[in-house]
Amino acid sequence: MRYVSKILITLLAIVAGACSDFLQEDLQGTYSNSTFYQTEAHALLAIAGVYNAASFVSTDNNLWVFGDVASDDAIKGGLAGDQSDIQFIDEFNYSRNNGAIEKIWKHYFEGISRANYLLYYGPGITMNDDLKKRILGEAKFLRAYFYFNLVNIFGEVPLKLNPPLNPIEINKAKSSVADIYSQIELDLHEAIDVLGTTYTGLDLGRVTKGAGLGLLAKILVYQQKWDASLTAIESVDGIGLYSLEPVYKNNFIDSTQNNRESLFEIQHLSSQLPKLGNYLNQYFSPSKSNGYYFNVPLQNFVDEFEKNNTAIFDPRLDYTVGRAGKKWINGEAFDAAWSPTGFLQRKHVQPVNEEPIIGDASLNYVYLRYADILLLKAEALNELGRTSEALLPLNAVRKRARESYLFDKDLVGFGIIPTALLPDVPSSSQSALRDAIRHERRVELGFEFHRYFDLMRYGTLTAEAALAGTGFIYSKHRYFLIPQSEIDTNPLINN
Amino acid sequence: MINLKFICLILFIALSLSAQAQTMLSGTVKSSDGEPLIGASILIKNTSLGTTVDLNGAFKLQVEDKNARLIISFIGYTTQEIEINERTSFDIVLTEDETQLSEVVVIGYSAQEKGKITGAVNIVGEELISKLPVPSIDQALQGRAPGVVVTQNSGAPGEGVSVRIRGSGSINSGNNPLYVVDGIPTLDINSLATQDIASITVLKDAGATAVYGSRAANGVVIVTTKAGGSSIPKIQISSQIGIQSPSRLIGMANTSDYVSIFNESVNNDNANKNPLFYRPLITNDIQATLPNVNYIDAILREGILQSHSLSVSGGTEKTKYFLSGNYFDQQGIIKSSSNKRISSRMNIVTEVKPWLKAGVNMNITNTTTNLIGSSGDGAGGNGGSVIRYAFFRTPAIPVYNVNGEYTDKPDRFDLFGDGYSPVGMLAYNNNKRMTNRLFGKFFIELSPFKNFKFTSNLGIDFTSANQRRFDRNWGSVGRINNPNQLSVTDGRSQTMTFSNFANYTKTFDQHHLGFLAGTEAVKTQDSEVNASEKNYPDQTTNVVYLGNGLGQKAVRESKAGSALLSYFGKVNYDYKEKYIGSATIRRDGSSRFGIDNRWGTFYAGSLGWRIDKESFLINNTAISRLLLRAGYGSIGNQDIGNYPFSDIISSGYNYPFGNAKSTGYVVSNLGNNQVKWETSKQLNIGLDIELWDGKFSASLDYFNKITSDLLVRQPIASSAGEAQSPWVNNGKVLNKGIELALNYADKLGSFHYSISGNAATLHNEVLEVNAPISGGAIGADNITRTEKGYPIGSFYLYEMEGIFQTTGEIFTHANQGNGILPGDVKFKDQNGDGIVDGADRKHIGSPIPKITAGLNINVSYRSWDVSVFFQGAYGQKIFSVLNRDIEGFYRPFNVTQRYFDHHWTGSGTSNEFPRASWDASGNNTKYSTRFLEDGSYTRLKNLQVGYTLPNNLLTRYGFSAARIYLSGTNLFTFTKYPGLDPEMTVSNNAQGQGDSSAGLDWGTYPAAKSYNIGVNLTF
Repeated sequence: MRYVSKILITLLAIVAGACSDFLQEDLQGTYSNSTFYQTEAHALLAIAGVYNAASFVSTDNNLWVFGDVASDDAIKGGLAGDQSDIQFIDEFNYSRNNGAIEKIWKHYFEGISRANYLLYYGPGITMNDDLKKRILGEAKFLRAYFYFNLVNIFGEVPLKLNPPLNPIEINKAKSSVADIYSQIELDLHEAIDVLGTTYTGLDLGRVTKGAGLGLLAKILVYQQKWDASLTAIESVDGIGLYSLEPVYKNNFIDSTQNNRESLFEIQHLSSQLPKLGNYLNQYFSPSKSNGYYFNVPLQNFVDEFEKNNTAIFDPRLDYTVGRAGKKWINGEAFDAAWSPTGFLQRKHVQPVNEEPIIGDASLNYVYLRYADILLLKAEALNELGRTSEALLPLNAVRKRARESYLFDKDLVGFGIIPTALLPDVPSSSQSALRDAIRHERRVELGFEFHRYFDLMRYGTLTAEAALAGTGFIYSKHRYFLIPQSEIDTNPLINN
Repeated sequence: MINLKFICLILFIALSLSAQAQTMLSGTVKSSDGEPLIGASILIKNTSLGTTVDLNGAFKLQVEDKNARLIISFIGYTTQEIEINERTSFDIVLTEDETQLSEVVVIGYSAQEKGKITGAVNIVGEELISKLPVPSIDQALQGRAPGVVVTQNSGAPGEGVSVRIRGSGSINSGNNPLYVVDGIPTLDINSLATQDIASITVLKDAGATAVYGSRAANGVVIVTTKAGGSSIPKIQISSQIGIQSPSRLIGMANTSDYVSIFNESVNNDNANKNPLFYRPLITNDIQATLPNVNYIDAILREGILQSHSLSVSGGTEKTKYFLSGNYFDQQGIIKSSSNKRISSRMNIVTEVKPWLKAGVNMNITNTTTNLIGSSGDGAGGNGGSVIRYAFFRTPAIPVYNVNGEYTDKPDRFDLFGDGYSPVGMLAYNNNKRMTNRLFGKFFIELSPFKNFKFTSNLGIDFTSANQRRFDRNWGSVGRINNPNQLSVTDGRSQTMTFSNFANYTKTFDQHHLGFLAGTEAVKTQDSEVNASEKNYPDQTTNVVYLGNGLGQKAVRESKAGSALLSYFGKVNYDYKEKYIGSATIRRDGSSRFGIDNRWGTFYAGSLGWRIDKESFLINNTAISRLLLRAGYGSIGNQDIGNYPFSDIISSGYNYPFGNAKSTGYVVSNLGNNQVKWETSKQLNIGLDIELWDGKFSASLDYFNKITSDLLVRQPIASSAGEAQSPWVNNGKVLNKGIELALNYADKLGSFHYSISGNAATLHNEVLEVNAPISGGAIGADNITRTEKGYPIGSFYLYEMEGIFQTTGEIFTHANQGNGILPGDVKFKDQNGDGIVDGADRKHIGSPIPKITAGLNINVSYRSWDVSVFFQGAYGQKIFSVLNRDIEGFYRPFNVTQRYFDHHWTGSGTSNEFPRASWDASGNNTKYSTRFLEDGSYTRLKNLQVGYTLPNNLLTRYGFSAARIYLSGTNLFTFTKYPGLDPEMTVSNNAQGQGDSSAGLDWGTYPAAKSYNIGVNLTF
């Protein structure tokens, strides 16, 4: 009997002892909001996460669907019935439940949310001040980039500048296109002030002052702010780092990435865990290489390329498109049966010897290169009536294209520029020059995911003419529908 | 082989036990009214020798000492001790023990007499639990207790079951009941062998469950395992073997039908197209070369199911033991899938001192499961759902190519599809999980003075699991799993439960009082290490081990913990066993809530009135029990993930600066430090009646349960990014219903029969919710919506009105978009605005059954017995995602025979199945009532015929009882549902979405029917 009380007391002591802090359980193995955004290292980890959203590692980043497939350059391609949501976009017969629309909406807003977290917590981090400013500048650039794509695709979207901390930040009504552009401009201006002009070593690939100025020039042209755009381009040139690559195709080859022409280039790297390679090479490769042959060029796009009187084409055609009678990426003969249109694009496809594993390719995506800047400059000058000045940048782009014959040893006929191929555009009227610049943009930047957005800013007539036969009506389809999921979850948006 | 050895061993033990004797005693043991007391034990005093009484009430026993004493005992009767006194024949009559008569039921930290239970409680006995050839207790519960709805989520061996007691109170958090095994709470009872179970008590209302406060909102299932007796040792063997085959399949089109409908769709679509986009036809030349393969048959097989168990039990006056070994082995009916479990149990209790008992209950299990992808949509790789791939695959692709390899992608994939070969996927499947679990307790009971008992339980639940999965590289141009990858995961999970409580009873005059007070602390720690490696040059299984791969390697470690701390007390009171009352209070702290919201207090009270004990009924001979009960109480729920109060910032969002990986972190889960307990308040009113000495009994219960502060993972605006939305407390849900259980048993001469049935209704309704919550995700779409006025997870769809028969009809109907033609699906313009769009979706049925029922009939005549068990659920709807894929016909997938036979081919040909057109699939496969089906069913769950061996045969071989039986499970299902199984509608896709995403049938592992033969032997 006397044991009883001893046992009871012992047990009670154990129970009481167990109580202190018994219920305290903290997150293990990763950061919580009380442990992150504290140090310089955290700031670097967080900014890498923002860049991650820009890459083409996730198939949710389907910018090509909107930039190319929706345009007059391409159709969905691929197996009939596969990815029919993309088909519906191609035909402008989509609904709000369209998966491709939902993906890009969520993905780019996720990028914005990541940037917003860093911009919200970053200023409070104790760290090297210059580095802090630079990292926050990078976040602002990336936020501007995501918003620019969203405003191009959807028009009015909610403008979120803070992370999803509470219902007020989570549920925002749509902002006007103009307000979104002002914020993009503001972010870019702030970024330009703090970004470095060039990065090397393990910082190669970070956004630079040139990227900021270049993107600023581009969004100013999109808003038809021609003078301001020229100022930005002047600053780009002032940096003194950018010029055209002698060989056009170097912009789309793994071994010549981050070259002198590149202003903003999204980086990829294969064979990493988790993946850091792009999925585009699988999506755009022929089925025989286990690709899905999406985003295939139309005859109309091929026909846009100039040829001389001996039927020699602008060399950019075969740098951009695989077609019958030509060699495909690994040196084998191209088979027109690989594609429903007889063509495949090749700017995002890598040879098998470089990248045997498909769907995880090392090729970067160059969003903004100097040729684009030159054409933007030509456009701005021309719109300001400075037509003769506009010829200079335009013809620089044409010259580089035809001089491929002087620099690309792999080109049949290497050594001599074929006669009358891609001659300089002579001085002409503003409207004729406008057409010439638009033509040049289409062939120079083809399949780099810009065409649809260019068409839309050219206006109703041009856009409807280009997209005739697809069901496209400018007033109805210029901007895509905000996805149903947003409407179902955000009480402040109902159309 | 293992099994054969196992059985030999058992027989050897049995024979050696029955091989010694000198004098033979014989006799009978009967009750005072002459009924044989089958199973009563006769023990020679101070030895462990003895026997039990057979079915005829007789016994035989060999003794050495003719002057020894016999101890005769039987539950519910007073134990007798008699001298042999050189007699050899005995007619023993045992008298009923009045003090033991009332059945005692374990109801949580204490036991209570059945007649005094005032809550809604159902008891399922041993004989029902061990009857079905199922691996786990939850499956054995199906149809056995009203209001307890058990559904099998998948037919895959070793896969989950969902159990709902009185409906779904929660939207996203757990709706599973709490299991308490021998006093130790757990959420997983898969490791327990059904043969080891003595009884299951299901506590349904707050009055009964409140003592388990924090975790009891969804009911409590109390499992009591078998204990040793204090008589002579008993050996029991039960063995069962059966063959399983699919119970229902879906008829699919053959090759000639496929070719015909494919070409029909090509002609339909090309008619309206730019020739550039024409799709090619399957020409006669191509058709002549095609095989006709039934891919469903190609992945299925007949599977063997076997279950063997050996147990010994016995004890002395002071020490009692129950020991068992069990083996369960199930081959899946889909190739390459199987589940095997070996378990053993040891229950020992000993009386150390008159005031101290100590014991151990321990269950050790080893489970090996070969997993295949068979749930949800599974995208690519070995994880893809083979069953879906088998349905999708057109019959025109040969299984093997000319080289004898599995055909992966056919040359004309534009005509016959480019999906993976399900046959190849299964052949190369290599995904094995091995789990070891140790689950049990050490306990002591102190009784320092009369009517007082202090119990201390130390519960241990330790699981270690190892999973190895090799995704082999194969397929056309090596397209599948390129590069190959091995992934090895080692996980450990341990839960320690320490509960200490005291029971005290006090009687004065006719007042009976019972007190309970105690504490319980539960701590869980889970950890996991995962290593993976890619690119094994040699794919031979024997050399695919970590370290041998050439590609990237990754190692990851994770750890998580949770804790619960509780204080509870309960008072029971009755006056003359006539007026009964009880009150409970429990206070719980959970580590899952932020520091300000950790603690919740829960309470309950209940009252009972034994009307039959009133003077006006006391002389009544018909009514042996009439109890009116009522209870009310509140209980909590915290069954959400760990750390919901905190944002989680995760790695893996990297970026390659300078061609080298830079690690990136991203907010992946949003936290909410305001999140707190979900609380249910439940009212229960019940009536129990028992007539004619228990021949007839019935229970009727009404319950009304309102759950508030629902724990919800409220979906937030998709423009807020992709981080997992935070847990919030939002909304209120009502569950109410009526439950009825009836039982009648009687005999006509040697003909015994019993009929028991149960039925329950359920009304589930969301009373409040801030904003509707979307669930049931299919790609970018959500097809359920949890909204005020509708059940949780109610289907929210377009309503199909039929098929457009003419062009005129399309013009006069609301605009559904471009390109609609006759033969396309017509949707209802719910808001009448002339356009069919998202605003025309409506609530249109729920996956929650309105009525569930079970019916059990047993008859026996002399040595023969037959039992039939039906189970059913009614009023629920199922959305067939699978049918959208195999009847929607939007790419080269095979179609159902039903669609092929009945699809629209011209005005008046069908108002149900649209025309064959891929281009029209955007309209025709919209998430609408076209794919919503009635899921009601009645199932013949079990039919069993048994034969008990006659006594003379038994004694010759030393058995005291032997029964052999044949049984069939899932023999018939009566349902209108066209899919595989109306039960299997919770897929992997719904994981994390809880009950807001039930009722979506993606085409899961089919249910099996089985034919079994079994034997039960007792020595």
